Amino acid sequence: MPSRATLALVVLGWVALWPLLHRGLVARFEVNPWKLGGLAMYTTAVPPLGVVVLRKSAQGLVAVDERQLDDETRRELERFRIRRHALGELQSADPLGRQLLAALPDADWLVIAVQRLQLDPTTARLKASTSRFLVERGVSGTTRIESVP
Amino acid sequence: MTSEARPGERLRGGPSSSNAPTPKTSRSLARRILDLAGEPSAARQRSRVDALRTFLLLHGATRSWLWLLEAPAGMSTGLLGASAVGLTLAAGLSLPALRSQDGLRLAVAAPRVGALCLLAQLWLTFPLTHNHFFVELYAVVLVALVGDGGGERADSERVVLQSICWLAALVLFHTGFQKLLYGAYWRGELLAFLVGQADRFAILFEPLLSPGDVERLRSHDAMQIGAGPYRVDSLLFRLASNAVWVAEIGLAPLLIHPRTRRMAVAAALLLLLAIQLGAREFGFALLFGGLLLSLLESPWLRRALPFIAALDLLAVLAAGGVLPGADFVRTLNP
Repeated sequence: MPSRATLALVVLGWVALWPLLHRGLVARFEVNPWKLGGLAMYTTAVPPLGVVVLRKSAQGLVAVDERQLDDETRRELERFRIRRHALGELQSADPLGRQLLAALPDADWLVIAVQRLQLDPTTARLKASTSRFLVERGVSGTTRIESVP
Repeated sequence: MTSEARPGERLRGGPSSSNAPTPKTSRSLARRILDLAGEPSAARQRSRVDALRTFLLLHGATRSWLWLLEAPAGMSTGLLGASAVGLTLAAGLSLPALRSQDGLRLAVAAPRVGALCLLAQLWLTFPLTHNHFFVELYAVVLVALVGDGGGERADSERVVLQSICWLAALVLFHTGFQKLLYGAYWRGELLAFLVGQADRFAILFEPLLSPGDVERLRSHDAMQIGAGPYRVDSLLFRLASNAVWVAEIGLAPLLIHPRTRRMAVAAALLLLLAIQLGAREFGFALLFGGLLLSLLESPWLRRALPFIAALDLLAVLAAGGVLPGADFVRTLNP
């Protein structure tokens, strides 16, 4: 059985190292600096995430009106929006993709676009980065794409 | 409240003191690191740990009831409610030890119950859990290390007090160091953004800014790509921005060193107060303020406990609608 001093040091070691690992997660996976206990609150601005679902129509690619979705799909969309804002790339778009295909049976494919704003210290302006995920019927999971088809 | 030794307790430095420094050669690495925070006075350490335990569990219980009253849709209120009851019982178990040693065995078990409740809350709220919740969890886990045997208890109390000192210093250091790493404090970019977003920051920093700057910052739309620049010319504003992380990093080692601790605690409390004028994260402020008070040999935290308990009760009653002020309590970010 480790001594109490050793156990205390394990806890303190975690407190000392986790914020540094957390900084790595923010840089690599766009994790929200304010979340996951990295003690990086009030370090940078984290405006809410923009999430839009796009589908093909006669007019071209159009945004799906969230109000037209059923309650369960809207809840899944909101859940994704909140969890993605906190977890960044660590939150997969797959569950939302599955739910959207189930809710929109006439769509062969959809695109989930995620826009993240962040404060760029170099320019002191808000800059955006957008991730896009292709959801195709008959294909398992979502595929990250650079631009919409 | 007395700071005198209790019956059966030996004074620090006495020939058989359980707090007598362990000879350097036989000290483990863990012990040597913890000892950098100095040796707490044996005459006061039990009283300090008792106050800290009660403070943390009261804080946890209050926060839990406030969370429960504001629980978002989809959160399991059953588990949250159970954990709130658990923390309230744990806080209750910790109370008798403040007056006599009879309740010590139960008091020692109380933070273990509290830690389990906090882990349940972490599971419920992850990944949206507040940073200050993690600080609370770490502190409760450390206080749960107190043993209930005679010599073992005195030794573990020393470990706990030293660990809490390290915890406060590490939290303070990292909050400053992270600000440095993200680079949005050098020219005051983040504070300028916050002035643009929230009245409370605008009011706080208005004296350091020109009216034109305030108006310009307030006109930016934070949901607009390219909004900005969140930058101002005011030298005072930039100094204030950089003073935040410099103070946080600078005070951390001063908290560790016993000779500078009192001064560092006072300065850290002032810094905390100044930050709260803008941030208004009172949940964090109360928790961290309590941790800072617990670092002092004088029984400041114990003296403050009745006031803290009264504030906790008022907050819960207001949030529950029994007293006015529910909207204000909601802004406290418990």
